[in-house]
Amino acid sequence: MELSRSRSRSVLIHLLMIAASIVMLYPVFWWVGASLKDASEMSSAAIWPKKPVWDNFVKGWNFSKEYTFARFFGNTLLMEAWNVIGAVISSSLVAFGFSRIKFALSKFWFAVLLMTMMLPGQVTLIPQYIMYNNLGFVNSYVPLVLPHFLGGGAFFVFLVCQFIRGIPRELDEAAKIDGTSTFGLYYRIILPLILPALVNVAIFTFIWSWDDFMSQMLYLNSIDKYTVGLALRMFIDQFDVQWGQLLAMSLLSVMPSALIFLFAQRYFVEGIATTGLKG
Amino acid sequence: MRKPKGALAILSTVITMSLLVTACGGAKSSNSSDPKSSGSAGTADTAKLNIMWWGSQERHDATAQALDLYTKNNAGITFSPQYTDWDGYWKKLPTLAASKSMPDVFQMDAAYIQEYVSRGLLEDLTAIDLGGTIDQGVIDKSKIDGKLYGVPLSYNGTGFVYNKPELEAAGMTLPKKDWTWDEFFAFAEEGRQKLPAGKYAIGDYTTVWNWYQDYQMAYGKGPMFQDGTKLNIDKDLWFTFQKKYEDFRARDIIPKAAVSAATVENDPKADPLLSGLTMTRGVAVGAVSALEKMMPGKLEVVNNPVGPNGGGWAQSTMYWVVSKDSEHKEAAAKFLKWIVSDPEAGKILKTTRGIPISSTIFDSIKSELSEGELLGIEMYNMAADKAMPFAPAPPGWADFVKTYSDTMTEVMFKKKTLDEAFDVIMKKGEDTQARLAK
Repeated sequence: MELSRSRSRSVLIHLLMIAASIVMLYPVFWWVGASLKDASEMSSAAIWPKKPVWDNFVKGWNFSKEYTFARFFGNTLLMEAWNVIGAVISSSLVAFGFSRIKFALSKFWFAVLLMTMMLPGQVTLIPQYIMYNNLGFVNSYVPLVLPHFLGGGAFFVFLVCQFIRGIPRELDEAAKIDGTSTFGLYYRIILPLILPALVNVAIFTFIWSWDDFMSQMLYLNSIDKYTVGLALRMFIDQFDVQWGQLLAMSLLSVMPSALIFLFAQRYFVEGIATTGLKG
Repeated sequence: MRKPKGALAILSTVITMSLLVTACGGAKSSNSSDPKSSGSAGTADTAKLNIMWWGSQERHDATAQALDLYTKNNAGITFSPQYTDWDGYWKKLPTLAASKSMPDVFQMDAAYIQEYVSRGLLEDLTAIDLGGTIDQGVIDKSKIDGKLYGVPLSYNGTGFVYNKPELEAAGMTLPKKDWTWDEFFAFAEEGRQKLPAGKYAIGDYTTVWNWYQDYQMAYGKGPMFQDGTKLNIDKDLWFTFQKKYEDFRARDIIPKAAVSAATVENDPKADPLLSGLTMTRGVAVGAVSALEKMMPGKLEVVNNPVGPNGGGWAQSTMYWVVSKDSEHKEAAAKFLKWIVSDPEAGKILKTTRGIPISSTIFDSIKSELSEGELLGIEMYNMAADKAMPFAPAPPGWADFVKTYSDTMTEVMFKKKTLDEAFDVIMKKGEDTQARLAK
């Protein structure tokens, strides 16, 4: 009796949750279906087209005369790789410095760091552009990658800082007694311990810079350097949008982020639990 | 011993990485849009011109080819082209403008040119020698405060296409050049008497703000937006106009709201003209050829209905402009003259920026133009003499336009009365005005 009641309750809950998931996932289903529709079926509400057209993927992939989407994916992944490396190194180093090393005005500098977090991106956009333009870095990946190497994401520094503060200082002291240098302390003691936080930093850097359309558009001019985000825009003309191809290619474009979410989920959840950060 | 090694390894990796990244970028940025690296300044003989436009892939390819040709014929002039889509372009340009790093030459649209001129960002091109290939009337229409800031590129304008065989078969009076608004409405009523059920002479454009604007301007009350910041709707005219359409809807002179809402322009099945729902359709010059392709030989064109002040508009809405900060104004002007007057350039660019407004270029590709494109030009020519100024929604009014269209859709479906709708629209207008005045 007791058992069957709890079972029927769990069935009910599951049914409700499945229904809710279907509602939430409806746009995704529609998206997948629409990427296989031709123009005449695009406006119909049906999820699956009467006649699936795989052509959208083929034509979309080869849309540009000069390059295929392989090039754009390559560009983006290359940029992303540097971004992630830069963010992980710089955020862990800077955070280590702030949370473990005593130096003059460290509280003040930390406050300054936090203030850069509050600064809206629009404010720095134009001065930054002027700077990179004067340095001759426009139309290269430097303006997109470099900030990550310079502790660009104040938020990540803050995040890792909080994480390091949770690590007992006794570990440091023990290591110091054993004769490690300050850098050794970072490299041998702290770094392995903050790995979950760094996975978080890596994932979010990846996803945020994948989505950061504005600066990619601003700094990359020539098509050979286009990222996926920019390349997707080529399907949109002032009056005419190649919806089928656009949807097909944008479906592919979210794959890397989706896959990373899928495979890094374990670390990710661990990271959220220990840092309190939510997507 | 081991510890410093590890530290050193990390440090050197960081340095190598940053060097690699910078080196990569450095090498590539040699052909970037950095004005400092663009050769000796000032002379028209050697210059690296930064040039930017928006558009489709076809336009990108053709323009790149034309630029190559120019470089071949003018040793010393090279280009650093950038191109993007329409939305991205108008996000990027303000940043470039604010950082004083706008390209030397770039494409400009009629909806934005006023703003860029008023901020003093564009070079006055009144003195530019266009080789006499662009009609003076066209140039005059493109002027702002008596000065030419943009070199007009292509024919644009509004008018109607109509299904001639079907109208003739029904024994209807055909629309004629410079028909008045009264004749236009009479034509609609005649359609109800002579056309079979389920077919209509005109469509329902209640939701289109500039369709009403056309009416208001024709009757001398000016465009809906003044100085880009003020809303100007003439209450009496607005109600006269909207009541006409409400009455038409009630008497089945225009399609029912649900039928109108289901139409999709240029869609092979859902376009009102292609599906045979309506006998006419309002259309822009550039879009005529697409329709003609789908209904070959059946379509004729006419200009928008006119009032005491004229009707519709006909002018170029796309321009080449030169940045005020450009270091190569002379070279830029020379290049502009070439691209709008050289037949070779025309043959490469074809109609990728619309039907060329320059006579030499037009002549050089005339034989290649399709029936539909010629029909578009016919429409432009019909509209030209009675045309009123082009009055697009200024930047910042996109929300208002959306509200206008949503509210009028509710009117069509009888969810709102005209009085209620008018209040909503005026309220939204005031909000927008207040926001822009800040």
